Amino acid sequence: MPETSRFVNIQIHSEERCLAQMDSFGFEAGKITFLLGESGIGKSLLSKVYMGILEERQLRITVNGRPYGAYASRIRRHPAWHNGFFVFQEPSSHFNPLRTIGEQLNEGQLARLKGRQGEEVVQSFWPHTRRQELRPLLKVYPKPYRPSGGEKQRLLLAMAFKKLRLYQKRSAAGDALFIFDEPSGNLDNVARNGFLDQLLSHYREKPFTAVVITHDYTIISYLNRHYPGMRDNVLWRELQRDAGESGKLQLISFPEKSFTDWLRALNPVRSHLDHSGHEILRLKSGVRIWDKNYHFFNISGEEKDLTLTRGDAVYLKAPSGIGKTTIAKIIMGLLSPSRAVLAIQGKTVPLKKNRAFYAKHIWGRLATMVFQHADEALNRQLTVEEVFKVLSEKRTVHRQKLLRRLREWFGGRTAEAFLHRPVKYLSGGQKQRLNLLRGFVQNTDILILDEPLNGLDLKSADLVIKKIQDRQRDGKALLIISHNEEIMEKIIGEENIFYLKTR
Amino acid sequence: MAIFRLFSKADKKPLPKSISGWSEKFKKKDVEWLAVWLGGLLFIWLWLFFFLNSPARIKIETAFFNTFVIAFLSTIMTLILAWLHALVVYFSKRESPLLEQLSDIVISIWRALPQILGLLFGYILLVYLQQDHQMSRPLVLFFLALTVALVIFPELGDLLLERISYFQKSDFFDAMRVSGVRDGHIINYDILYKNSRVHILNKLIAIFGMTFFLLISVDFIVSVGLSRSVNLVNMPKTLGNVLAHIDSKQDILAIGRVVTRPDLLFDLFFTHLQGVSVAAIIVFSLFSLYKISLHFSRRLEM
Repeated sequence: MPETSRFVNIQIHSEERCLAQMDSFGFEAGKITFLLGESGIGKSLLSKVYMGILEERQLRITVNGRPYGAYASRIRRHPAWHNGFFVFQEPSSHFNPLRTIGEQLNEGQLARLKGRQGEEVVQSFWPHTRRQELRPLLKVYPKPYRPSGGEKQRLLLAMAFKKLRLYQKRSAAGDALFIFDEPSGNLDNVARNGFLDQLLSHYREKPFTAVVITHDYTIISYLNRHYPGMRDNVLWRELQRDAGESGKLQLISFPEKSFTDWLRALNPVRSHLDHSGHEILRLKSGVRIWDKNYHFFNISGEEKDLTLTRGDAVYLKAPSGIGKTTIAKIIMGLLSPSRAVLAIQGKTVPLKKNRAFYAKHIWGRLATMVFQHADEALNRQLTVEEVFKVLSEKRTVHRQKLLRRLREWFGGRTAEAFLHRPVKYLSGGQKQRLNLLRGFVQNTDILILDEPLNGLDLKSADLVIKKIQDRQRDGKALLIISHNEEIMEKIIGEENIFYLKTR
Repeated sequence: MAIFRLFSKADKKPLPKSISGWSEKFKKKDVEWLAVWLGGLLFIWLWLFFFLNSPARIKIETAFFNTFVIAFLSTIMTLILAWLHALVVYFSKRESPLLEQLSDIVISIWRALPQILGLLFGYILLVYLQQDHQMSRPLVLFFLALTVALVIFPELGDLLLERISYFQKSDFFDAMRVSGVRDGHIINYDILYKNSRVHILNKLIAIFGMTFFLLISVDFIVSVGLSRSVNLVNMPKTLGNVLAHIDSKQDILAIGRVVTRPDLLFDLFFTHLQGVSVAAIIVFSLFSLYKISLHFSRRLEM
């Protein structure tokens, strides 16, 4: 049987500020805990400290009031930790570029599960690919572009599951701690569900302690639908800031019902303005770029042009890595396709040497786009106020107006000092809201949102959905790219869902 | 069990020494080295003030002033030229591949000229311009600084272009573009000023040191007579040509004598001051500049 649950006091400080402090952080042994919470709040950081794998560098870390170094060296020898595994959020950082993927899949303890059994584990993450087809991938030296993000993620999960098999093969009692940091961040819903199925079926064979750090609230519905009998073994926890004590975090129970109720209440909206329904953008199906042809299909499987009309939100769906962002960038004139027919407000847009055209008529005037990764999309060295100043010709901003908008997005108690806070000091969730707000304040007729719910907690996701629907009511057109299918399909009508496929 | 003691709630003991001393890591060693450098120079000057004859001391002071003015001016000019270079390359690349190739060819030809040769050509040109009438001292210093800047600016230009290219690949560049922000603003303000000024400053410190070294080397070469076109008469005094002066050479030779006659060591700092102090200023300045640059980059984790 697994050992008693363990909770520790963790404090993490950088040179300039407190990054995370928590009186009692830990997970119940022998359970699968889903750890939710807005991006950047400290879930990964605390979990890495808990696992004893965080590099101290220029941080000052204490665990139970004692230096972290001593804690880490002792905890790593503990059987539960020794038997366990940590799957990193960014898979690239986990792979050694000087060894092939195959070699890395058989490193250290993983070598004990070689041969057919080991191959089976890897194969389980590519259920539709034959074993022979996977072998070339195992001979590759990791590079930034190969394996792809999704492949790396699966390989990393395969490593963790090999370790899990080894733990389960042992007849001795004990525990193993597995932490999966955003394991589905680079996976589409089918692959994500495959991971969840494996996790739970292994758990049924022999329990262990698992922690899944995620922002994907739709996992709740999936588990409720497919694993209703596992409720006692699955815990939902949310990491939140303590309202009273600044900087302190607390781990609270997250009621699943709050998500399912919220989801049930979502509905599509329509604009009642006169000009709503007018076509504002049309991208003809059959876009060609980088030797790939992109086609759009409606829900009945008929090929259709991608069209945006005033007052509507359009949802562009495709498995990860197909090219949804590529299409968005083509529309915004950031990529030059070899073949495409694009019309905005009835005028054909030049597809080559179009920078001057876009700068004069489109960017920030008729259309804008909110990029997927807020951390990359914002200039980290600017202050919150400077992010907005740059949007006006005169580089000025009406402070009170801006503060009002910020309070809508960041809470009514947002102080004026927030305007002067550097972007680099905001949490991931705050950055994402700031990234979205920058797109929304431009008030363009067309707004493209690439993964708008990334890194947001449920409260913030609700706010973003409301803002999207307000925009629709105002007669604006939106193009949304998101892997949160369950949520998007609730707020966008079937007629506005487009499937992107390559030929 | 020990493992459960480990998990007990936090005790309220004060932080151990290893942790409270953590701020030591972040000491500004570059600033400390700047202070050491300036302090060292002050000490040398005081020593010269008390122990070197006045005409020789004034000669060293003038050489020191000229060398540093040229190095400082050339660092500023390098920054301006490199910035113009980066903008020309960026906008020519954006507007037309032909313009990009043209700018690439011009800068490659310019880069192919060895720095030291470029400097010598500059000196020759300066002498030629002064054949009929002597140019004013500030103008000569300005001309020399410009010569150094012209041969050095591609190094900083490359850094600026690398920074632009790095940020161009990230979403932040495109995200600002689609928000209607002009390329010029993104490059000058967001990339170069907000995200690269520390890198640029670090490079400028290195360039200051490089200019200092180049200038002294060329002045030394010119002064010992490797070039017939230029000589000490029509050049401003710098540390390089003071070091090449016959008095200084004798002083330097005296250092060698100390190896076999250690009893002369004491005399070195009183009777051979001109050469020894100039050599000390050069070596100590180069070493300090290297240390300042090194610790500055370490502190900012570049």
